[in-house]
Amino acid sequence: MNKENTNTINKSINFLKSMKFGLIFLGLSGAISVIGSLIPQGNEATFYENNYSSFWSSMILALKFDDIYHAWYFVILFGALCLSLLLCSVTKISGIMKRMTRIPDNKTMVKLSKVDQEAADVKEIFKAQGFNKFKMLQKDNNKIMYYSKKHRLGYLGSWFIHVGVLLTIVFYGYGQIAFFSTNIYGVPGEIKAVQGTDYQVDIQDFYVDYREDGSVEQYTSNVELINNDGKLVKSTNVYVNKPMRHDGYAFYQTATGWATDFKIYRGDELIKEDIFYESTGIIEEREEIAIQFTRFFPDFRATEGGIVSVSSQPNNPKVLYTIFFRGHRVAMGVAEIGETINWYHYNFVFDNPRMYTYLHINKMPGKIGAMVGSLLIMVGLFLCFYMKPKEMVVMMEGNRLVIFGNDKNRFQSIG
Amino acid sequence: MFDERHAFAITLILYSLSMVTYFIFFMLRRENYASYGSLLVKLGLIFHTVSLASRTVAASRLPLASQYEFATTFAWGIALSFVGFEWKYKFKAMGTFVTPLLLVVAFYAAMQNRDIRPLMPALQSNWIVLHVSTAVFSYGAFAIACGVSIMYLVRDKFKADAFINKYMPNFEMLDIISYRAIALGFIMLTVVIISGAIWAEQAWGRYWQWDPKETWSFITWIIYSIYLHVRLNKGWKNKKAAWFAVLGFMAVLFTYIGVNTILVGYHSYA
Ligand code: HEM
Repeated sequence: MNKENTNTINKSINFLKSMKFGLIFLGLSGAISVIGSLIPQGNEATFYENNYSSFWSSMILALKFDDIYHAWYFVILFGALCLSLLLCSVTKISGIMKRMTRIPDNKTMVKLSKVDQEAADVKEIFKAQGFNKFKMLQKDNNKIMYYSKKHRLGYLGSWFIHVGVLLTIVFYGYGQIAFFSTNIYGVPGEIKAVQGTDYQVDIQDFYVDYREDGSVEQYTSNVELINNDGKLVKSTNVYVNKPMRHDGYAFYQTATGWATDFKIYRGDELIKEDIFYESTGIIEEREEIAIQFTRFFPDFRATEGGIVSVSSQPNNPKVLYTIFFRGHRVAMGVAEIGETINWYHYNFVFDNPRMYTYLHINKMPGKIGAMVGSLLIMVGLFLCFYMKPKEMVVMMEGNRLVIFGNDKNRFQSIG
Repeated sequence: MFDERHAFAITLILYSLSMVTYFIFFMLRRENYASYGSLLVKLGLIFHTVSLASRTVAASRLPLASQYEFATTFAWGIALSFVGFEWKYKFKAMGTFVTPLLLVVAFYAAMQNRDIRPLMPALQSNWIVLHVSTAVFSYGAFAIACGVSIMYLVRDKFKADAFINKYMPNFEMLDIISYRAIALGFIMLTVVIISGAIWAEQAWGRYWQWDPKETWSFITWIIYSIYLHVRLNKGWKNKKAAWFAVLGFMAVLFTYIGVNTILVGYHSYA
């Protein structure tokens, strides 16, 4: 490589790690976030076509404003930010270490005052400024110098912040790439395999606690986690806000709904028996009929405005069903629990209504890393704002003591 | 007569009167009016505290859950910080600049639905208590920084005015107060964001998903971190820093009020 090339490379590295560059990119990421917050994210193309003029919707789609936080330019922006933070943190650390350990140099410090040697006790001078310890040094010119340093960790403040930001972004990004997620749902008594993992969930129980006013206090699933070999790994309650965690997976109590037992007969012959979940359909392949469990009414009431549920308690449970024949909707009706509904030569029954639990399962690696990163930011901020480094030097000049400090504002006035 | 609603109504009246007296003080240059203003804010703060306390008792939890509860607590945080800063730095003109911000937030609270609603299960978390209570202090500190920075700008505009010079602290002091308030607010804002992320992870499994409220707290954080860089490293003090503090507080207000009224997101209840 010739000299010119090296120079250009050095120059670009220096620019990349400079504060100016960092701030420009920080500002840009803020500006992009503004756009992302104004335009709803992650909808279908038709959403934008319906809600914006044709010019704007095509602009939004072309510029990826519909999913801006995953757009290539946003990723590159954060990549550049990370590179900048990395370069700056790596190149700065030795200098920071030096500053933390070096002996203060009175030539670069501010002169605070002079006092008569007889009158002054060096120890007292340090103490008055909050230094409990100090060191003595004989300089080359035989002068005696006393010095002390305080809040040395403060030098690390901005370094901690920057490394913390870097870690948080990197681990967050990694989590976004390596993210895994799936769902299961079932009623008590069912064992459900968790797709894509080596685990099964045995739903032991599920219940909803209500307050006096009818609002929900908590949803609780009592579950057992079983591994591939059929071994019990964990037995616990999963609540909203208190997921079950194992092996990096977290199981969240996410939703609930109603399910019933369901039987369907052709004539007298039972052709299918299953647990039927609200909003799903049951299709028997060899038959031409399909049934949809359209909606569940725990406390059914027919009013002028239509059919409603007056409470969430199963006081008068009914099922709204839809029958499809050869793919066409042919009938709709409301079934009582245990009532046999009959359509041509088919008969079916909804029975034993109960609530099912819906668990969301995910694995987002890098959570701990991001957590450590944000802790570092916190510590760094604290050091930066509230642990300003303080250095003091006392030199003998003739028969007087001259006192130096690294920053006038941090010292009480002396003498 | 000391139920929550009455106490809050009296609070609003006292805060409004206080703003009026502080304006009379400043515009008509009647010195004693500043003392009335200060007294009125303190009385208002007492009624405000009564209002919050009775709501806490009625709801059997801290009033931090609904839009109204957060707004009234936020206003209370500004009033408290103001009384604290006024007591510490003892300058009279501060009220003229902080009471309008206080009133914006307090009247915003007054327009919200005040029903006490039970907490949905996702909101029952200790993290959210930390999240919201640090938000109150963070926003309060940024409000003070904004008020003080406006004072700075006003003082700068009327340099030759003897009254202003008498009742406003010097530039250096204003600048330092603004910086300290922002440093405190920034640390708090960082706690707000981190505790919010931890809570979201426990409730939904995603600690950061760029919903508008999260995004705007990020934008606010970015604005203040740029402020800190240029101030600590490029020596941007004084007027430029003051403008920055005002801009930052605009972002705070938008995060808090704008996002809820203009944009939609998961946070619509908080
Ligand atoms: C993203 C959030 C960031 C925060 C909260 C942050 C915070 C800070 C703070 C508080 C300081 C002041 C240190 C002091 O003087 O006491 C500082 C300094 C500095 N920052 Fe940042 N920073 C961030 C990102 C960046 C980025 C992306 C760059 C780009 C390279 C950068 C470059 C610098 C430089 C060069 C300094 C001055 C030298 C030093 O003290 O290390 N910062 N930062």
